[in-house]
Amino acid sequence: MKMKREVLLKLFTGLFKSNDAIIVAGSSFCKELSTFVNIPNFMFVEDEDGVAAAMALGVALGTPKRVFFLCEDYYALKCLDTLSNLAVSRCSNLFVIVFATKVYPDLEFCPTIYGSLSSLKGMLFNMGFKAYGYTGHFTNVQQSKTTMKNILKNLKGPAVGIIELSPRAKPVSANFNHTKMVDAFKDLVVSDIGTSLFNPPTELSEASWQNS
Amino acid sequence: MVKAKELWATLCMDLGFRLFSGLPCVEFKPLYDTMDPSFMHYIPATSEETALGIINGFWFTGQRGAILLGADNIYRITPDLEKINMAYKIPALIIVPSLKYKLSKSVLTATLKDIDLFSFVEGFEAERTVAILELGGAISK
Repeated sequence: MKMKREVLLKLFTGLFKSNDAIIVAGSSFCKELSTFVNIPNFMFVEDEDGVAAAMALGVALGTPKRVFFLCEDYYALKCLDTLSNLAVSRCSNLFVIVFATKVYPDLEFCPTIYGSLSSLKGMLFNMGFKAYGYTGHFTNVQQSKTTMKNILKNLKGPAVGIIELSPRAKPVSANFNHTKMVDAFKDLVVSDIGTSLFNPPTELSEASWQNS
Repeated sequence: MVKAKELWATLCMDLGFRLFSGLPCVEFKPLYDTMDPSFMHYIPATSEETALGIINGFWFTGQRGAILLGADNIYRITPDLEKINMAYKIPALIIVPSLKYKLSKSVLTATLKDIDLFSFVEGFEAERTVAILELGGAISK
């Protein structure tokens, strides 16, 4: 790992545009990210069951804005069924970013099966995602920023990006006002400030599905 | 007897519900048979949590959606309803053929034949609570 966890997370969360909607899942991951990101763009869902991932799909179906879903590898492995629903959605504005720490949050001695899988990226690709590994791009801050900005600008969903990073050093305790956050996020999603999508989706209103 | 076509017309045309998600339930067959893609979308979900999440997310876009679940499946999402919908105050309408389990008192429950659907929907959305609509009896086309 060439870049420190906090530096990488700050760098990555700084790449989003003001009209992007970002949903974060996992209790401790939410608490960690909430300490250094702009709340109106972010919706922190302290959920471990896959509801947050599906929420990203629900938002992406109803808006042309870019919707990012951020989670750790344990969460992605736990809700593979939900991710398969996202993969077949054909939503070109839906992006999943999996931060692979290879351990359960705040339990460094409990590894996930990420390391034992032949390829999580391959599994997600076979589901229907465009799958990418971004770990190699995070070398130095300035170069990573430029490269990742270009990558995210040209990304077309449903896509998944996997970034390997070191586990959290210590638990983070942070509190956020749920109702205030929900209202701010809803205002952002329903606002008509447009999208930063490189290829605007055309079939969103139809919500067309491969298997329906 | 609930007429499936009339239920869709009220929910979609009059009340503006556009997106539905859920898991298959044999008692909903007349509802599935009368679905019309010209005014509604149905997304088959892989799990109850997925269906709930899709509709929760869709609420953020300022549009209405509802979940179709079998009576036996509702207990699977009751922890999520409390942890997410009630904590974050995200309203959700869940349509079930009949309710076999006792739920938290903060969940509104009603049987279709006993209520005015318009005021029921306006009411639970204004209060941002979870509402369960029992169809209560056989559905016909």
